Amino acid sequence: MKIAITSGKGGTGKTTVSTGLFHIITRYLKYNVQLLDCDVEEPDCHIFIKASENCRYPVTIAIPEIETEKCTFCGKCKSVCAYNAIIMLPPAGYIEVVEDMCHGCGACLYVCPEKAIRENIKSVGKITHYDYYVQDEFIEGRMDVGSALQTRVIRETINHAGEDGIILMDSPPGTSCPVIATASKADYVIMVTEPTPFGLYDLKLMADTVRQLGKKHGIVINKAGFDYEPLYNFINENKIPILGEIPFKREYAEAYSKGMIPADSDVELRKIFMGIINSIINGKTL
Amino acid sequence: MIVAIPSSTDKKDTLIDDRFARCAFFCFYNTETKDIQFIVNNFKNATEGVGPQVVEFLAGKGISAVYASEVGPKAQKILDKLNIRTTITGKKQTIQQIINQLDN
Ligand code: SF4
Ligand code: SF4
Repeated sequence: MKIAITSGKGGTGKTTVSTGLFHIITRYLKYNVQLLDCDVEEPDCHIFIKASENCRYPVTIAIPEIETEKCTFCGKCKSVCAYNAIIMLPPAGYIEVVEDMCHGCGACLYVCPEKAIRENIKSVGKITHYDYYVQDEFIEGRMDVGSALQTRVIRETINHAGEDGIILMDSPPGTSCPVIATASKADYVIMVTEPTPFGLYDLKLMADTVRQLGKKHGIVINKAGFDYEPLYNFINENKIPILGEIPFKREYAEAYSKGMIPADSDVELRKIFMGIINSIINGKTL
Repeated sequence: MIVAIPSSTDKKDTLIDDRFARCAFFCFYNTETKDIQFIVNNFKNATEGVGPQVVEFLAGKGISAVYASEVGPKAQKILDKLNIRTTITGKKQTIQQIINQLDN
């Protein structure tokens, strides 16, 4: 079962929930579990999950390059490219692949009758496997600085997951393509929010996206305890289950700032995380 | 030469459109014949890679210079490669004002 952990923006406690759930499941529950850090632009689960590196895989893309001397400007490559990545101006003798727009599908290479296109392999990111309590339990996707192919690295990271047990996916924040690349692969989406106007605003956007994807979903309220009624009204009106509420406590904040998992030493918090897991898998066989 | 200017409407007295590739219209001004033409920018709402596509379109129309208040890096790169001269103008200028500058 794949569970995506999302939030409208960074800093709402998404990583706290992902790493907390992961740690509690692997240490205290009987399920097999894997944590995937899919927030490839700024992966930060490793700050809390102190695991040892096992192996590393490059994520590459083959970017085509057109040799203008061999090209007859027949336009076949351009018409086959679904991403409008080929710019061609026959009168100017100009044809080029716009790297940032190319998805490396290879279609242009395949159709070129003049063999004027060759491929250059380019790195876009890397995927690292770590051993935590169990081998390969934690997998981190990390995009190269300056690369534009975030979704590509995310998809590849998800491909590295095992088949069984609970797969927790720490999703990038927001509601754009990278989040959808993660949430669309999930069986269940956890939306992390906080009881503030900003939290509610982001939650509305996220809930829309998740509904459009047709995914089962629930909410975790982080820093609960502040009474912000509109948030609870929205949740009730839309009948979204609250999976758990993490109270605001100074001890938690201190533990996080030291890169520690407070649920490890705090029984109350441990129970909250176990409750979240139970609500999700209730009635499901893993 | 023909100059392309991003425009917010199809009238000469409107302001230049700040978004080069996502502008509403392009004003094509022919500096020799003084001919003015407004063309709808069909790429305005494209999701990705608008800049390069717009440049390809403009170059196909025989444009040799662009006047705009801002040009994205991807579009700029291709403009340079195609030897299309880019002039960055101030915002808040009308199409007519830019045409006057070109005429002087
Ligand atoms: S590899 Fe695919 S996306 Fe890239 S230029 Fe060729 S056809 Fe377009
Ligand atoms: S298919 Fe090959 S020959 Fe035809 S335009 Fe593309 S690169 Fe040139």
